Amino acid sequence: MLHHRAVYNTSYALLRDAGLAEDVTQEVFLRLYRQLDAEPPADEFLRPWLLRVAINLSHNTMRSRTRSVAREEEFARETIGTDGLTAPLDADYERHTEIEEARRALEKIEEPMRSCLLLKQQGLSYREIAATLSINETYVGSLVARGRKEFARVYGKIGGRR
Amino acid sequence: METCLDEGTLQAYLDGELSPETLNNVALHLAACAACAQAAHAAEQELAHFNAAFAPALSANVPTAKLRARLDEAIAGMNAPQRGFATMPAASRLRSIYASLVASLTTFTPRQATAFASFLVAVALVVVFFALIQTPDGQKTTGGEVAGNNQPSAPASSPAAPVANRETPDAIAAVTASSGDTKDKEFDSPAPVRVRRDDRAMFVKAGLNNRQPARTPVDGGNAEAGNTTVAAAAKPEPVLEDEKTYISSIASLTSAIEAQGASGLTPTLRAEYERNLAVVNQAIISSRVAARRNPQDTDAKEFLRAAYQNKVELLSAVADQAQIASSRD
Repeated sequence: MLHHRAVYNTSYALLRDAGLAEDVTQEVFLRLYRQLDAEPPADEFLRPWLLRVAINLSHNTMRSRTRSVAREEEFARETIGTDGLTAPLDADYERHTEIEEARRALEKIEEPMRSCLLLKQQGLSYREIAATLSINETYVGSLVARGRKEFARVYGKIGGRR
Repeated sequence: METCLDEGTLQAYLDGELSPETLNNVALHLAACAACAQAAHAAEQELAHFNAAFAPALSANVPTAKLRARLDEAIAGMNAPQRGFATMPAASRLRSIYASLVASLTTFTPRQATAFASFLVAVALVVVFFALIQTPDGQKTTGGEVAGNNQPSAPASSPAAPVANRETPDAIAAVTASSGDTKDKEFDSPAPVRVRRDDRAMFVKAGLNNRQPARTPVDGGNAEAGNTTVAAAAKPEPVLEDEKTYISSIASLTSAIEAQGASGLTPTLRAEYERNLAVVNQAIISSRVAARRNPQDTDAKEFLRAAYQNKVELLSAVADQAQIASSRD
């Protein structure tokens, strides 16, 4: 469970649902567990392997979770629309909306830039990102840069936080 | 000066992903090119912006303990059946099942026997009593030749069936199972063939256990052997010397009660009578099974005798009660 934070955070960033992210994280490590008997990933590719599975599972989950998204966005709309009156604490409310806005901005970024940005944020090296996403390592820098720019554009539009 | 930095290289520079050589070149270029320096500065701000936006998310609680517990549980669930089958060879699984069966069959105390002795045997033997005592067919059963009367397709004095039964006399379970079969069918329609076959099987079993080969119908298949078999059918388990006395007195008491009419009893009394009768029957069956298995065991015989005595006393009491009730009317 050394990499569970990266796996969970990546899944949560993509899914924006704690329960689903937990499910995905559990499934990722279960697959790793099964994989250990057959063909365990080499140490240096362990984290890319885990995150690739996490991203794939999250994408699969995303396709079938429209109801969950609707619920989450409705919640975000409600909390924002009522000036946080429903939120128990101002600090929590601030944090929650901030994270949600960032995630929604992230969601608008296209793949593979989004995943590049996400994995970079989780501390993966370019090499690991390339291995995770099965892309050429020389493209990673430019994909991260484009993702970063796109995020700044979208997030500035949504939240206006500068 | 060389061409300006592309965004990928700039990003790699900011992320610390460049080789030392390239890093040096980029640093030199940034120091000389105002446009690239500005681009780098803008990129740095955007990155800070991005990181700031996700900082709360990163510091947010990752449910580590919960995830760990879930994962452990899932792995345990995944392993449990696998480990069970993988680490335990089929042979040892069978052996352990067999060992537990054998242990329960062979270890004997009267209490255990009572608990263990199968309900099927109990009911089956009760059925045998009814079949022999109550139905007029019972006369034929006891007096006639087994195979001849009810198995027209079989030769009249065929020793084949007893011998066949003798070939597999080892499992009491087999006897009890077939007796259990008899139970259901007997109530629907009299199945004397089944009953007698089971009795015979039991007799052969008992005979072998008693080391009394002269009483088993295997020595020649003559008429004498056939008669022995039939006599055994009337008295399936010659466990006690005076068992026949008990059985006959029980039979006479039962018929007396029925002649009086159990209707003479109040419903409460009748229910109690039936319940006690069931208990006593169960005791008889259990102790007989035990005594048959261990012919040397005097305790088991005493138990059986006491159970018979109880049944006789119970029936006598009920018969008296019924007589009193009917004379009052």
